[in-house]
Formats: sequence, structure tokens, C-alpha cells
Amino acid sequence: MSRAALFLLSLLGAWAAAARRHPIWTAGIGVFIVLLLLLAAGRAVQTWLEQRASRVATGPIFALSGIATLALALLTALIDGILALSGEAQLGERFVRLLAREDVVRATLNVPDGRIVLPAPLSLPLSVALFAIVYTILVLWVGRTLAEMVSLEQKPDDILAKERAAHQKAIADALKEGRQMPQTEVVSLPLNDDLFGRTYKLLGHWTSVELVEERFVRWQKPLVFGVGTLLFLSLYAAAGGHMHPAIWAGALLLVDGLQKNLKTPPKPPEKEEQPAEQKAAAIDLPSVRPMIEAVHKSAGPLAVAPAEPIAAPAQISPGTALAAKRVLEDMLRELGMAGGLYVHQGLACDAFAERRNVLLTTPPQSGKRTLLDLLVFYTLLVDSETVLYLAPDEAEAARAEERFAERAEAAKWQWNIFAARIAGKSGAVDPGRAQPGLVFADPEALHRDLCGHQDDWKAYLGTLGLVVVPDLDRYHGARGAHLAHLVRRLRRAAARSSPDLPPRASGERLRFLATASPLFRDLGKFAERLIGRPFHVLGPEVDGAPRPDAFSYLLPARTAASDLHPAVVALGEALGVGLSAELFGYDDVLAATDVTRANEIMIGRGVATRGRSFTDAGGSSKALADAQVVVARASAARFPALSLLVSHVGYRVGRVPKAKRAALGKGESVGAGAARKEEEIEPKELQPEAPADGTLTME
Amino acid sequence: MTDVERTSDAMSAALPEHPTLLVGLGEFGRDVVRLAFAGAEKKEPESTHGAKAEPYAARTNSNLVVVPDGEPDAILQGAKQALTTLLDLSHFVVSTHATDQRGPRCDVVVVADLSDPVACERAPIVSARLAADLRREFRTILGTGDGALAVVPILAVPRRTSAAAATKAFALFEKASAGKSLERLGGRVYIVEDQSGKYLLSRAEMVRTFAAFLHLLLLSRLRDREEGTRPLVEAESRDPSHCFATFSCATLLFDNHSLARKCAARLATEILGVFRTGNAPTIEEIGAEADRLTLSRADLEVELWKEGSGPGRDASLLSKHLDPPKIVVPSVEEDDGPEDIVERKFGPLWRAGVIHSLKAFRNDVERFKMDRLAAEIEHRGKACLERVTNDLASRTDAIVAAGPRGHARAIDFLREALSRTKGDLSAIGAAIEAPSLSNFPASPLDQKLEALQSAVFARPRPLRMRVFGLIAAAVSTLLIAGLVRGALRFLAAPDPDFFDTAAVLPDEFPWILGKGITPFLIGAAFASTSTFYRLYKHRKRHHNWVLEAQADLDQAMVRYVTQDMVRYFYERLDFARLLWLQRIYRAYKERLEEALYRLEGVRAALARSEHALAQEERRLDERLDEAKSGGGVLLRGVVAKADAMSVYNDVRPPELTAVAARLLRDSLKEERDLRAKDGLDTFSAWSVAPFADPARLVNFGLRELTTTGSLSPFEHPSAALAAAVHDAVRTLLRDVALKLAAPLETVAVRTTAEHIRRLAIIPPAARPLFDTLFASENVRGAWEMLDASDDQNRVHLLVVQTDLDRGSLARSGDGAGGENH
Repeated sequence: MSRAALFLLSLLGAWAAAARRHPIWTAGIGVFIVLLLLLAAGRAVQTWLEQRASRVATGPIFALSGIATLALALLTALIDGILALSGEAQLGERFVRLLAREDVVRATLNVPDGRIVLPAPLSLPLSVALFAIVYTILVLWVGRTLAEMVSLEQKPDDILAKERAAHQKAIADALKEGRQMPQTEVVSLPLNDDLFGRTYKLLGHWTSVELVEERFVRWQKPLVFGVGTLLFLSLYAAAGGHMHPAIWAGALLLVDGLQKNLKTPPKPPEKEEQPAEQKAAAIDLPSVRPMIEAVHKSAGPLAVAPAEPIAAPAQISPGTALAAKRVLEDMLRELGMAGGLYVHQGLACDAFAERRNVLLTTPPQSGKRTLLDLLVFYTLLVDSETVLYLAPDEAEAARAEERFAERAEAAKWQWNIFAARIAGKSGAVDPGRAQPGLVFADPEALHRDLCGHQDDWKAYLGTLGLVVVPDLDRYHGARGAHLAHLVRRLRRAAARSSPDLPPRASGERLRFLATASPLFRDLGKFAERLIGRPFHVLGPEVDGAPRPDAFSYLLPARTAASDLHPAVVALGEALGVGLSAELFGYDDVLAATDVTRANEIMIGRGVATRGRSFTDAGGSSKALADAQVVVARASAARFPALSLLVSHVGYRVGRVPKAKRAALGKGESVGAGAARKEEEIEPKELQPEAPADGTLTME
Repeated sequence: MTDVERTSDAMSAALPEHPTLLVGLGEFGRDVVRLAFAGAEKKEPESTHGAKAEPYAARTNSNLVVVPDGEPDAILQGAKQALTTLLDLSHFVVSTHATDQRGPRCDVVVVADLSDPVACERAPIVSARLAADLRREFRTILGTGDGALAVVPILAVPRRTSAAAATKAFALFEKASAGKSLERLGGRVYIVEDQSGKYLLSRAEMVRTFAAFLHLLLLSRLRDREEGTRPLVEAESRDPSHCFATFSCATLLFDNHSLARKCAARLATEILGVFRTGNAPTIEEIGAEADRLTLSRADLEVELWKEGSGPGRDASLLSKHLDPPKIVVPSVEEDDGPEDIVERKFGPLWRAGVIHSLKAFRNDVERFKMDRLAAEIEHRGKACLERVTNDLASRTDAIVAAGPRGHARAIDFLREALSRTKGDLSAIGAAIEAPSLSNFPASPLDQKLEALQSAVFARPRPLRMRVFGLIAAAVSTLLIAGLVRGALRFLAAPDPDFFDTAAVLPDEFPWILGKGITPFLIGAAFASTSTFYRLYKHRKRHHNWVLEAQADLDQAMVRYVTQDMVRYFYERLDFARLLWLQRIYRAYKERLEEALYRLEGVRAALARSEHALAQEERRLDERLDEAKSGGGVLLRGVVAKADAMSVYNDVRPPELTAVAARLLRDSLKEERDLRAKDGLDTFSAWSVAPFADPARLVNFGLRELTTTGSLSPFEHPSAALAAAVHDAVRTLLRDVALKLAAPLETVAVRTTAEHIRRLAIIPPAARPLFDTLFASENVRGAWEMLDASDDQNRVHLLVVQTDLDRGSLARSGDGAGGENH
């Protein structure tokens, strides 16, 4: 008999004595202490295991060990039961008799006769402690192989995610390009089908050894909670010795293991990877100084333009007199004018609502074309009147038709707007079957079809409410005289096809909406002579479009310093310093190869962007708005108007102050909807994204 | 009223048979011409088209042309031009009878007053040159051909005429009459002094008697008869020296034209009264007709495009027409693993397939089907617009043409329809200004698929449930068994003590429940059933969740393609239809306003016409009254205003409404025919108010009153007219039958009595009356009755003395009288 055994026996004797005197407290305190130790040990072991393998969940090991410990406890209880039934000494008695002689044991434990049975308040925490040790040993033993568990995964999640992403991309491409869909499917593979794999799968894992499935947790948690509740309720029975302590202890460790398994973070639901929203990169414009110096070196002295445009905010009209506000809002949104109309546009809308003829002669880039589009749509969709778009030539008519078709399709109005182009092609429309609401024509087509076959076009002419005449200043000389006669004939034809009503008190039945470049004097009288009706003229003085800060330089048309045309040099140098530059109106001097040479200068500077040349009107509007440098030819006759012509160029990239509501003076009104308060609004297109050095115009 | 007006209208009742030129020289000549034939003297109207105006004769097919006074050369030139027109083949064919083989007998009448020195000087010259030059100019016809020319000077020689000038003129006339065959006058030279053997003639009476004589010569259609007026015109085959003659003529003029116009104007005024006054339609009538005139929005929508409105209802449903794809949503079985469901059945390929189907459907609809539908709406809209405007025009036309008050009723109907149309248009405008156009609906696919995946990922795997269910049940069995045993011992405590495990409970109920395997059985029963039930319920609930998510996905996709997407397109089509509705309503409103504007114009035209007819009536009344009471002795009228009203009352139609309806019908038909010929819209014929045209109204009245205008006053059924004629003839005979004398002083020695004739030239119908009155009034005397006049409206008493030579003229210097002077 060793001293340790005797000490342990004496300890048990004291504990048993206390248990007989205070069974409840003894059992409670004992179980509590053992549980604390178990929790501490479990946490320590778990932490240790998790440090060994970061991508492997430890919960299944605890659960598996809990099950094994439960099995051992059940075996113990079964053996004890068999021994008890056969009248043999139970395992507890056999254990204490190993510590000392029977008499010593009986004396120490105060069991004078009969079977030596430890008091239940003593045997319960003792059993828990013993099985917890076994449980912990099992966990540690199994945990040695934890790092190898990763190999259970046949297709790890990251690989699966990549495959899925590639698959999605292939599908998206197939959808976009109309190709055949990929036939193979990307499927997840469960864990290996060996012992551990099956165990992990049984314990809530499927494809990953790290994450437990949500579905498992959903039903396992209440199950564990139910068993735990029973465990708690049966504690008094176990403490009273009416249940084998091994059963209670095994059940406790089972619950602990399962509960630790449930603590494993569940697998998050799979979501498609959303492409990260690409933030528009802020434009960081380089300085124009090197470019100026380079051009200066090549082309000689540069002159500053006589009047520098002053940066000014957009003056937003507080409202218009147009009646259909809601439709108008939709239209403005669809036309990219959600911020509101500029003042001159609002004034034009007011005059339009009063059925007056309007001539808009504001500078380029001031939104004339957008206003035309808006009022054309308004006439078609709200007034239900037909519209004639009288383009100067066939090409312009084709471009206008294309622009309207795009806008109508984008806004899904293409089924409400029946448009047709008769410019350059006769017989494009069968007026006997259906008549378009919007007709694109040039003077020749107007003469040939609309005026030449008035009876066929009677329905169209009878409801004609708007004639749009862009670029009115192009009709001079014989063209103007021809147009004047045509318009008068058109008005007669429209009047003949319309009901014979008493003359209107105010306003025109057939309105004319015209635009012109502000380069000429007396455009209002010119328009009135051409059209034969009074016009309301809105010129640069009411221009409310934003003006960016800009510099304008003039350079000579010819220079001996370089073989290249100064415009080519300027374009190349501008591109060379990293500015997006556009070349306008040099079709009779420069060729496409010149632009190529300018690009070569740029490449020689190690900069990769691109320069373009615009010799026609198609697409030039957007380019003028977006250009950081514009190289254009200006004739001597247009020199005084240069500042006016370039006042809005580059407004999308230049520094533009915030847009403001138009501050109206007393007695002034822009539209029926007066501004409620002076509030600042910032149209999206007007917000400068980065400081810009400005737009440079050179000659 | 002046004599000029009276006779000008009278002239139109009869015209010369042969080409006749009338030259009035000097003021007297012009007065005579104006009084006799003012209509022929009218100015040539200026052409509105700039083309040269046709001569009056050519336009009227008249054989009479008045040559303006002026210098002899100008007169000659005018005469040539006039005769050129009159001798034109087309005019010749039109103005002669089919059986007439003779050439034209041209008469040139020169009227002049020799007391006017200028006229006295020009008259013989003009007469002689006219005879010579015209024959020379038209020699083939008038010289050697079948035609003939007679220049008949009719000269007034008042007492104040210079004897020398008269003598000279007479000599020249005599010379002209005695010239060569191609140069002589060929007609008699009438000389009328202002005094006869019994009375003096004032200038006005001279003008009247000249006019009456011209009427007699030219309008009685006795020009070619030897027993008629031919001897009074021609001097052929007679001694040229005896070319002079004189006459005195008294004429009773029955102004049939004025009477007829008066009656017609009266009738027209009364018809206009039918048009202008009457009962207004009742509220019920207005409501009922406005219902027919007002557009039905529902019907128009159906006509433009309406879901399910086609011949086959199902086929015309938009959802059927668009033919949305069928999204096959796989079923979920009980034993499907979550990976099977999420990765295979509802995997990316299935999702991509669905997206592809939706995209293809949308593209197909947007690119083709919607375009076709929108184009169809456009086509129908145009047809519908034309139909409704045509319907309105035809309906308005029908209302106006329904009766004389149709235009007034139409105004009430159309005003009500306009009010309703404006209301509908306002509602449509409001709908357009606030359209319910939603954006393209977002696909529920991803959302529902995500919900399905969530459900699938929550559904437990069965094997795990079985294993852990068994473990939990076993453990629970043991724990419940302990619980039962502990509970029994707790209940039994303190005997035996709860902690005395060696103590045994009695073998009786309920303690026996704690013995043996009984507590284990109890535990097993509770644990197994509760665990099984709990896990079964969990599994079942989650499986149902999956099924619900699958069904939800299925239904959402069906709903999306058959409802949401279709609704989106429906809204677009509806908006297109709404725009067409607005266009149609607006056009219809304007057409209504136009129709009302025109109807108000019709009403104004009726008022204007009534005013014009009243003026015309007053004018005719004045004319009749003046002709009857103030027309002089030698040219007088028959009926006065009161007589005219009596005549009208005799011939007035009894039922004016029917007449007004006939006028409406006839005038509209006439206007429609004209418009159809010109290719114009026939439905708007009423808009020019043809039934309110005063000229048309009077003409209609003339046609309607068939008993006026064309009948002879001597055969007229109107008792009032017969009485008036009887009185007028009796008065004429009483006044002048025995007093009328030749107004020319002659030298009695050289005058033969057989050259003086007293003729009563009357239409055949007047013969009985004249016989009766000559007898009853005892004024027959030496009057010859020439009852062959074709002019029904005039009777003439003519005293004529012919075959006088210059010497027998008392005022001729060559005559005895002259010698006496």
C-alpha cells in the first residue's frame, strides 16, 4: 500500500463522510467543480487544436470523443449492472479495494459490512472527472491527425469558387454573344468517403472540413438542447444514486462534444460574386504648360485669345410652362437632363407652351439639340401632334433619325413614336396605310413628297403641330429662297388639311422651332423672312449653360519651324502630355495621316491615348464636350466670336462651378413653376471630377 | 325707280332676231338706249383671271350690241368689232333657227337728237360710214352674200333744232340713202319732232316713245314680216329719195320680270322664314343625337386595339399573341440531395437557360411583335381617324339635310357633342400627362432561386438524423429512466431516505414503476417518440419549404413571363393607343368646332339672305309702283305693288315647309354635284349654304311659281293680274287711242295719205281683250290690229308715216315748208 493510495483513500473517506452528512451540497459542489475543470480543459484543448490546423474544424473531434466516451460509460454501467445482478463486487468497490486492504477501506469509508459502495454524491463527480479525462485524452489523441483532415476535401471551396466564377463568366459570355451554353456543370464534391470523411460528413460537414452545414445545426441544436435539458433534470437522480453515474457522465460528455461541434461556424450560403463596382477614376489632368512650350517652340509665338471665357455655373430654370410635368420629368431623365433645364431652355419651353415660334441662337454645346429632342418628344407624346424635322441635308436627316431612334428605344418610346425618314428616299412610307408622327426630311423631300402629294399626307399634315428647322443659318442665298417658298407651301398644305377654324386668339397652330449659330446679326428677322411668321428669339444673352474655365491660344496657320502643320504639332503635343485632344474642321488641310503623325508624336512621348479628327458633324458634339484640348480652325471672320463659340466647349471635363437655380429679378418668370427656394442643385454631368487645366483652343 | 331699270329688265324678256347694233349719239341717244336696252350697255366685267373678257353678246347669245358713243372712227371700230362677234359662226348657229337658211339681216339703229349740234353733225356721217364700211368689211355677207344691212337713223328734231343744221343733215341722209348699193343706208330715216298735230312731247316722253319704238322694232319679232315691221325698217326697192319717215308709239309694258321676281322674292323670304324660325330640339332629342355624335372611348379602344377583342378571343389576348416562353422548373423529390437540387436541377446552366429564354422572348417581342402591334395601332388609328371624321361629316350633313331647320338643330346637337368630347379629351390628356408606365419588371428568378437555395440548404440530410436521433433517443431513454427512478425515490422520501440507494421501495404501485426495466421502458417510450416526432417534423417542414420555394419559383416565373412582362408591353401599347385616342379626339373636337363654325356661318348667311331679299322686294315694289303710276303716257306699266301682292297670293304655294325642304334638297344636290365634279368633299356642301344664296332663292322661287314669268299676262290664271291688265289696257286705249298722232310737220301737198298707218301691235293672246275694249271704249277708229307679236309683255299703239321725201319735210330747206319758213 502506498502512501498515495492511502492518501487517496483517506480523501475519499473524508469526501464520503461529507457526502453522508451533506449529500446535496457535496454533490452540487463536486459536480460544479468538475464541470468547471472540464470546460477549462475543453477550451484549452480546443484552442490548442485550432492552432494546429486553422482550416479544420475541431468540433467533430469533440463530438466523436463524446460519443466514444458515452459508449465507454454505457459499457461501464452495463458491466456494473451485470456485476450487481450476479452479486459480485462492482467496479467501484474493486477500484477502492485496490487502494488498501478491505478492513482499512471499510474503516476509512465507514462501511462496516456489506458491499462497499461509494455514496452517490461522491461517485457522480468522480465519474464525471474520470470520463472527462478519458474524453480529453481521446480528443487529444484524435487531434493529432487534425492537420491531415484537410486532405479529406476533394474540391476545396476556393477551387470550387474559381470554377464557379469561370463557369458563370462562360455562361454570361454565351448569353451575351449568343453562343451555345457550356455543357459541363460545376458541382461540389463531398469529403472523402473514408472513415474520417464519413465521420465528418456525419457530423455536419459535407464538402469542407472547416465549416459545418447550416442544415445540420438547425436540427442538431434543439436535439442537443433536449438531451442537455434531460441531463440537467436527471442530475438529482444521478446525485441520489438512482442512476448510474457513468451514464450521466457519458451523457454529459456527449452533450459537451456535440455542443462544441455545433459551435463550429456554419457554412455561409453561397452567393454569386458581384463584380466590384468600378469607381470612375478621378481625372488627374496633367499640366498644359509643357505642351504650350513645345508648341511655342515649334510654331512660334502664341497669342492669347482676346477674351477669355469666365467660368460660370449652369443657371437652371426653376420650371417651365409646359403642362405635363410628370411626362416632362421622365423625358428629362431619359435625355440626361435630370438636373433641370438651363434658363434659355426653360424660356424656349415657355414660348413653346404658348405656341410661339422659337429661334434658339445660343453658342455650341449649350443644349440646343437636346432641347429640340425634348420638344419633339413632348409634341409627339403629350400634344399628340405630328412633327416634321427639316434637316438641311440628307446626311443630317439620317443622323437625326438615328439619334431619335436611339433615344426612343432607350426610353422605350419606340412603340409610341412612329418615325420615318423621307430625306433621300422616296416611297419610304406608305401614307395610305399609316402615317408617321415624326418625319425626317430635307427640303427636297419636303417638296417632293409632303408638298407634292398633299392628299396622300392629309392625315399627317392635318395634325402637323411642329416643324423643327435646325441650323437655320445654313439656308442662305438660293437655298434660303427655296426654303421660304417651301415653307409657305407647307403652311398652305397644312392649313388645307386642317379643320377650318376661326383664327386663334394667340399662338400658332403650326409652330416652328429653329436653331442657328450665333455668328450672324438679325437672325430673328432672317428667320421671320424665311418662315414668314414671327419668331421669339433666344440668344446668347439668356444662355444658361455652364461655362468651364479654359484658355484659348492662337497660333499661326503656317510656320517655318516645322514641317508639320501647326495643328498636327499642337494635337501631337497635347496627346503627348496625356490630354485627350480632338481635331476639328481641318478636312481641307489635314488628312487622316496627319492625325496618325500626331499620334506618333504622342507615342514618342511614351503616352498611350488617342487623337481623332472630326470633319463632319456626326459625333462631334460629345467629343467637344469631353475634349480636354480642342484644336480647331478659326477664320478671321469668326475671330471676334471666338470666345462665344468656345464658351461651353469641354464643359464635361473643365472646372465648372456648381449649378444654381436661376435668380430671377422682380417681374421675371421662367416657367409657370416658380422656384420654391434658392437651392443649389448639382446636375450629375456638371460635377467636375477632378481639377482640370482647362480647354485649350488653338489656331 | 328709273325707266332705265324698268326697261333693262324688260329687255331680257325678248331679244332681236337678227344682229342689231344700237348707236346712241349724244345725250339723247344715250338716254334712249339706256332706257330701252340698259342691260346691253353694261360694262364688260373685268376678268378675274386676266384673260380677255368675252363680248357681252357672245356671253349672252344676244343679237343686240350697243356701240358706245364717241368719235365716228371709234364708233365705226366698235361697230366692226361688235358685228364681228355677232357674225361669228358659233353665234350665228346659236342665234338662228335650224330651218333658217337666210343670211343674217343686220340692223344698225342710230339714235340722235339733231338739236345737239355735235350729234347733228355726226349722225349722217356715222350712219353713212356705218353702212359703207360695214358692208365693205363684211362684203361677202352683207354685200354679195345672203345677208343684208340696214342702217336706220331715228332722229329727234325738237323745235329748238337749227334749221340749217337740220336741213344739212336731212340732205346728207338723203344722199346716204341714195348712194351706191354697197354704200347706201338701206333703212328708213325716222324723224320725230316734239310736236304733233295735237300735242307737244316733252323730252322725257320723246325718250319713252323712242324706247317704245325700239322695243317694237327689235323685240316684237316681226322684223321679217312684210305685214309686220319689216317695211318700217328696210327701204330697199323703194325710192331712195323717199327715205324719211316718222312715228308715234305708245307702249303698255307688262313688267313680268319684276312681278315674277317680286313674287319669287316674297316666296324666298317666306321660305327663309321656315329655315330661320322653328322649334328648337328638346333636351331628349339633343341628348339622343349627341350620344350618336359623341365618340365612345370604349369602342375606339376596341377599334384601335383591345385585348381579347378579336374574332377569336383567346387568340387576340396579348399574352397569347406574345407567346411567352414556358419556363420548365424541375421538380424536387424527397430523396434529392441538396447538391442535386442546387447544382444540377437549379444550377447555373438552368438559370442561364431561363435568362436566355427571357432575353430571347423580350428581344423577340421588342424587335418584332411589339413593332407589329404598334404598327397595327398606327394603321388602325389612321383608319379610325378618317372614319370618325367622315362619320361626323356625313352625320352633320344628314342632320342639316334632314329639313329646313336641320342646321339649327345641328348646332344644338354639335354643341352638346363638343362639350362631351372636350370632357373626354381632358380625361385622356390627364391620363397621358401622368402615364402609368413602369420600368421593365425585374426578373424574380434570382430572388426566388435564392429562396429555393436557402430552403434546400436548410433541409437536413436523413442519415445524420437517423444516427443522431438514435443516439439522442438512447441517451434520453437512460436519462428519463433515471429521472423516473429519482422521482419515485423523491416521492417516497424520507422513508427510505433519498440518498439511501440500498433501501428498496415496496413492490406495489407506483413504486413498482422504478423497478427493473420499467423506467427504461418508460424512458424509451417517451424519448423515441418525442425524438422521432421532432426530427420527422423538422425534416418534413424543411422539405415542404423546399417544395414551396420550388412552386413559388415556378409560379413567379409563370407570373413574370405571362403577367409582368406582358403587362409592361401592355402599358406601352396602351400608351400608344392613348396617344391615338388623344389624336382622334382632338381631331374630332376640331372637326366639331369647324362644323359649328360653319353652321353658324350658315345661320348668318340665312340672316344676310333674308335682309338682301327684303331689300330686293322693296326695290321691286318701288319699281312696280313707279311704273304703274309715274311712268309717263307713252310707256307705262301694268301692275303696282298691291297688284303684285295680290298676284302672289293667288299663286303662292299652300305648304311652304315642303317647298323649303325641296329647296334644301335641290340646292344641296346641285352643290354636291358641283363639288363631285370638282373633286371636292360632297359632305360639306351645306357649309356654303347654297339654300341661303339670294340669287338661288329667287331663281328657285321663279321655278316654283310656274304661273309667273313665262305666262302671258293676257292668259294668266291670276284673277288679280287679269283685272290689272284689263284696267291698264283700257286706260291706255282711253288715253291715246284716238289722240296719238305723227309728230312731224310735213308739207301736205306732197304727202300721200296711204303712207300713214295706225297699228296696234299686240300678242295673239291680247286680241280678245283689245277687241272688247276697242268696242266697249269706242276708240277703234282706224287702228289695224297686228296680233302677231311674239313679245308677250308689251302692246304697242303705233302711228307711222313713211315714204316721205326731203321736200315734204316742213323743216327741210328744200321742202315747201322750208320754203315757207
